[in-house]
Amino acid sequence: MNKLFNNLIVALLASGMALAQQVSGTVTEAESGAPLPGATVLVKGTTNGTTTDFDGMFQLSGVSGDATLVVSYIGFETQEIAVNNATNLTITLSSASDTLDEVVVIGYGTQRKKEVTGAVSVLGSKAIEKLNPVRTEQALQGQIAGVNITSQSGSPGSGLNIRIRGISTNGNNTPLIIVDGNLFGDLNALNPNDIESINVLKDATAGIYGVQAANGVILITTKSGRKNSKLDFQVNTYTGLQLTSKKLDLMDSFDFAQYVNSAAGKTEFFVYPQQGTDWQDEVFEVAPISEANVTARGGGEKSTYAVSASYLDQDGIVGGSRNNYERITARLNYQYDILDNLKVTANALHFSATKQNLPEGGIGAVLYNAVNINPTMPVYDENGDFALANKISQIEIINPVAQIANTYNTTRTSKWTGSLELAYNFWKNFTAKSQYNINHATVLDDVFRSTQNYGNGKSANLTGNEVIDNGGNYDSWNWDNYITYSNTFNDDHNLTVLLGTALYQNKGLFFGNTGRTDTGTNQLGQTVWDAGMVIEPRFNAAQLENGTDRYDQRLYSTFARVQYNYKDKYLFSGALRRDLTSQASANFNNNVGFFPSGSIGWNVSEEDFLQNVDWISNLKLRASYGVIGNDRIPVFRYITRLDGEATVDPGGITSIDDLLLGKASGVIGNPKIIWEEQESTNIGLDLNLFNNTLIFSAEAYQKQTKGLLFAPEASSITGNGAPGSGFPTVNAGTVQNQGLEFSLGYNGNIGDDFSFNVNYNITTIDNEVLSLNDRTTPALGEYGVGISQTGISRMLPGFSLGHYYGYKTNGIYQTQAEIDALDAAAVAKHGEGEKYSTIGDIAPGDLRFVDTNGDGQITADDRTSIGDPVPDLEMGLSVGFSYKNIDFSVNAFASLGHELVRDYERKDLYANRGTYMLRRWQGSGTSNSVPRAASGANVNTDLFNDFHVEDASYVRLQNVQLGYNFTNLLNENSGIDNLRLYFSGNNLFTITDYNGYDPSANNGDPLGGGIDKGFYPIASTYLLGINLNF
Amino acid sequence: MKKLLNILLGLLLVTIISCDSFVEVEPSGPVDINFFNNQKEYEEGLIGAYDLLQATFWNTLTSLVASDDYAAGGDSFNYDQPTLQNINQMIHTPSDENQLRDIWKLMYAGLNRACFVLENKDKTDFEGKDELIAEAYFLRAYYTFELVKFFGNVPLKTEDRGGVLRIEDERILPGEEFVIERVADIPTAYGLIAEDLKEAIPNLPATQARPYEATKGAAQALLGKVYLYHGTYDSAKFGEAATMLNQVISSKNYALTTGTDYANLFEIDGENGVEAVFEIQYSSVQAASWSNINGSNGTYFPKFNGPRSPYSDSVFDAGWGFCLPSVELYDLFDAGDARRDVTFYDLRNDPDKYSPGRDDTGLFNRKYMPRLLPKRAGSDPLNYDNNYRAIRYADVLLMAAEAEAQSGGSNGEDYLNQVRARAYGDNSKDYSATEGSLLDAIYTERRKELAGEGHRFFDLVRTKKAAAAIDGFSENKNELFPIPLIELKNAQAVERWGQNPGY
Repeated sequence: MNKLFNNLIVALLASGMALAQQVSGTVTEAESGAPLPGATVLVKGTTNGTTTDFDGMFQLSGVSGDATLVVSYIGFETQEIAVNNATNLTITLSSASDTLDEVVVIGYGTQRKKEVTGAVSVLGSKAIEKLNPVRTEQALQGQIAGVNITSQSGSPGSGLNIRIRGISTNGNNTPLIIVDGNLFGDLNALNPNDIESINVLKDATAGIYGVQAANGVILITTKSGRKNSKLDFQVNTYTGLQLTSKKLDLMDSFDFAQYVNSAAGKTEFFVYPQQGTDWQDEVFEVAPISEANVTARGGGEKSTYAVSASYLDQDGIVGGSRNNYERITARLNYQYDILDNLKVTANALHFSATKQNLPEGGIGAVLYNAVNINPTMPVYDENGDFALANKISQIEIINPVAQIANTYNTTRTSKWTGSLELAYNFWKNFTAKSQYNINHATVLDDVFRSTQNYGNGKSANLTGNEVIDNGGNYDSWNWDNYITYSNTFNDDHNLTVLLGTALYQNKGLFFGNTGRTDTGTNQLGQTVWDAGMVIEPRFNAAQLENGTDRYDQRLYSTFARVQYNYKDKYLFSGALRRDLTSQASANFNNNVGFFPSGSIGWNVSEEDFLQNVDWISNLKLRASYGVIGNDRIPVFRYITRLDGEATVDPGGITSIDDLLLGKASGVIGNPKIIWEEQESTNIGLDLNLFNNTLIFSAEAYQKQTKGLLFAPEASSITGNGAPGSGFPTVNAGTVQNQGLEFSLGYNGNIGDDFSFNVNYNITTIDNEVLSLNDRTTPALGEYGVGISQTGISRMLPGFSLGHYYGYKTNGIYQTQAEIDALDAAAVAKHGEGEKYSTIGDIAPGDLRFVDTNGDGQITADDRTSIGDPVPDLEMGLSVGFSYKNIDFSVNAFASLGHELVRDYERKDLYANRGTYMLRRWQGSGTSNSVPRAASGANVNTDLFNDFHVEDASYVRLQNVQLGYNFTNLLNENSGIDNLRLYFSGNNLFTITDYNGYDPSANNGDPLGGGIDKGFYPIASTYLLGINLNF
Repeated sequence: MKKLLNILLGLLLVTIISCDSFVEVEPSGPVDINFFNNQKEYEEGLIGAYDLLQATFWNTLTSLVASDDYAAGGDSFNYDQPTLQNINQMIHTPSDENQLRDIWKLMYAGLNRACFVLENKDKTDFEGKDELIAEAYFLRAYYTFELVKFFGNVPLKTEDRGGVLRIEDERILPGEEFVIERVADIPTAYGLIAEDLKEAIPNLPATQARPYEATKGAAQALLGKVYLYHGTYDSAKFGEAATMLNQVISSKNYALTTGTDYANLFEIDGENGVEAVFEIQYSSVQAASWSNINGSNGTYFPKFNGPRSPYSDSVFDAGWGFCLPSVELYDLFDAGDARRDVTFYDLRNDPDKYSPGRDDTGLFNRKYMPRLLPKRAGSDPLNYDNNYRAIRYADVLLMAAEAEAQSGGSNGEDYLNQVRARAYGDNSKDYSATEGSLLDAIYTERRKELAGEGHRFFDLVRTKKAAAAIDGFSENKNELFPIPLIELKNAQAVERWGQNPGY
């Protein structure tokens, strides 16, 4: 077999190149002169190539005398050397600064940065290491223009939202994540230490991924070993402390008692208590975090390997060890050259995590309780038991310390990924690749609830024990096959053609049981299967039959791409992808779509007229346009399944098994749905000056997502209001995101000892719903509790997606005379009996709502947009310098022009309040911004208005790191290549006017994501770490 | 080279064609266009139609606070449940959604589910199908009657069947909301409901093995009730009402409970007893969740009726303090009236036992208060067991009495006295002419007998006494509730259907 291939190749080469010869040489590092093993040597315009051995040597046969060799190595500038009939060459590579030859991953292939024509940003492993992220997403914040990260929660192991260039759909806005060419789910499963580089495709360049690409694509390359290199160990470990980045300014017991007396209008407190409980201090604690990470890499003549393992142990700043997160990752990367032209790559990844959950981010959460519970109440009563929250009548609010102590809710995640890739070079210019990847994840949720009494009528009370064991299995695989043809014609015409197919399947199966017993022993460790447990399965027989417990999504794609450039000067790229999805009906051919995209570039600096301008290293203009898609909606929306809720109690039953199960329509199907189409346009400019020390780039983008997939309000006479049913999904509406991105970087040296770099980027986002085709979206997001102020976050043409909808205010009514005058005017205009405020009685001290439609009355029609959660402007700044053995870096991030809804304050006489209420209106002239104290119904708190909407712009010092490198102090024979000790601080401070915990929080929902019911703040973290290589 | 590319492209093309079927994933369960293939599937479809009866607690809650005898109540710290508060004050508008929209949505859902069975009634034959179809007609009548009570002559798909105007045996499909019209007027709507019930009655059995299923008596009682409502527009209907309700009485399948049985009528022990003509079943065997309130098999109407926490008791659970009876209503009852202590839970002398809310009267709607027992699955306050006594025999007697009185029959006084005798334990309070007219006495008796059960508001409307009784009630307006504006807009029917008069 081996022989056959070789013969075939020799024959082909012989026929193609009569004057071929053998060339050998050495590749060395410019700085040290040391040989560079593992460098790639390629005959330009062919796939004829090899890699250097342990001594940096290479041999290549079949090289024509006038050929050019391309020598490249990650982290070094690529060199092109003309052979000029020489047979022995010495090639030196200098390490890359920013480099136009840096390799950029663009999906099913790579490009040199010089050839890139789209908006693609790269983040390398060095930048990631500086940030010490626990999760990969954290490394993206502020580093790449146009990429915005918000936190769903600061609790350990929580997810983060990635949004690339705004939000383009009311549905799922998560970008496609590809790791080593394979579809990857939650980034949680990937240890940031294993990442070599992150490439973000922000524009139509993503078009090669067709229907999955509209939210942008993140391509991650993981670390691999080098050929002919010795076994190299890298140990990174840190340990540190976390504390809350913020405590709210709440009233103490003394102020609170005064406030209550004033709000109640009668004396509730006859004595103002001097001592009380600071509930935030009771629930927040200083929590430890530590991580250890070991990587071993190396390679032989034909193979490379990289093995890594990591362990993270992190307590929560709320609840400490009761909110612990433990993560183990392990990874193996192995590459082997079966033949000179046949290479196999295998990857295996394991991830397992255990998280102790506490209720967070909503009503009933620990922090919600800590903020609202009465500060005059003690933690423990006189008997030493947890005090009961009886004074506060709201049934969800309980003693948060008791809640932490009694919560047993564990999530265990385990994930395995395996992939195999074969790459075969043939016929000189062709490469065929076949890659297969399989993922399996199991997520298990175990909840144990024991008999508890938190106070009369509290909703968390329980008599008996309850055990909930739920879980899910997630399985996916993809199989991608593609052929690349690459050639250079007449030295000047560089052509690459790609043709491929991809199959993808993603399945999920959910299961679980709830067990209940009256005779509980309150013993943790009880299981659903214990004697005396009454079991309620998570899915009943009808649901199992209907497939409620599973999903199955498939995609079959074919794609082609042509890349052409003339002398690296004029660049062109065009791609076409055909996608077939299981998400739409085959009946009308709605399940097939074509996604074209193209881009052009002009390397102006390659032109003759700029050849002599030394200070310009590179100047490039580029533009891209494409149509890309988004099909991420729940399965089977094109057909009406009979999976609606249809259960009847036949009367007089005592067991859940006696319920009668029937069938009824679920969500009404719409056979016509197809995917969303996004037209994405990008114009960019790259400018590198002064020998690539100053790097500037600018982008202008516009993305229009058309045919938005959403379930608009529909008439309920069709029965869609039944439980388990819902509005049909339709394609309607257009959302536009446009803006500018600039990034500026400088790398410099002063003398031999001092080097520094500064990188700055800024992004503007203008988000607007252009049309909804006269449909009405369901308005989502709830403000307050029980007052039915649902739907405060809306999607309306002319406004940004998810803007808040409520009353504008303009100060405070100071006198009754002011109100009387307005009432008199309303009577004059609208007739006898009319009042100025038709939406509720107003009194001096109440907020003055604005009559936006000018009809002389305050009505529901006066509601308007009062803010939105999408920032208008984002900025990132990183500064680093090193002097001799010391290195220092700072990263900061700013997000401006987004608003959050302050909704963590419960309306109850005995609910605590922010100290801003001390500045409340207490008589004419006392305040024109904070309304009066009121215990009953009032327009200030009952009607959603902009008093509760706050500017959440912020600037955050994300990371400061100070390191000291001991390497050159060590004995040469120590065997240690690198030893660095560092101190790092994350999220040290945040400048914001926002009153809530975290201005960077968002639950990720396009509608209602910015309603803050007490987001768990991200921690401020202080770490001491070691990087060791040997 | 060209040849090579051709071969490659050819290969790729072959793969394209061969793999297209890979993405065609069939749903696991049945779909709407391929169902009703056997008896089991019909039974399953009918269960789907019954399921929505459990959602009618919204109707009861809403009509209670609309009446003169019950205040909305709720949390005093905010405008708790704004639509209920507005309805309580009769200042509700088409912008009020919440409960009003729930009623609209859920009753139409029930109607469509009944139609789903009916549109397939000829697809597959099996023994017992006639009864099953009759139950579907009963259910459609029930849901439609609720819609007509609240919203008047609602839009329905109708057709001429054998010279009679009928509701079409077909679901209202997406898109049809843009073309279908309101039925001509409210009497026409009552006529449509009556036709469904007339079709159902012959095929329904006198008794059912399982209490949730409709019986002949239930259908006759409902038809009698529909005729009584229709009588407001066409007095000839009172006679038909009397005929129908007399059939229920003469069937002797039902009786009034007395003594301890009466005291326990609204307890778990009193469910599905001899007085139950039609009862909506609720059970707490399954935990409920806020995200699927209407999918629960329990009811959270009782939670509305409980005293606000902190409140602790050995019988009743705490609740949210809604549906507060007026002291005026309480004072209508004599001390010797057994109904008083069934109707009211009196905490007026125990103000520290609970947390007073909005409009506090110290009185609570005892019939549907949340009971601590039986223990409920899960901890959410959403699934109480209390069955809703939709049609009680006492209601049948009083409706029959009224129909008799209106149509010149002679049994009215007797029926009234039966109800009174049960309340007082003897015939000491039998009707006498000195009280005033028999009809007024019957109306007052209904107010007392059925207090807290959600009938009062509609009784006031149909007897044209609402304006006098309810503060803020506007005549020629508040007889009906407004169709939620959003629903008119969604059907592009702001003009076509129009809003109900006065709104």
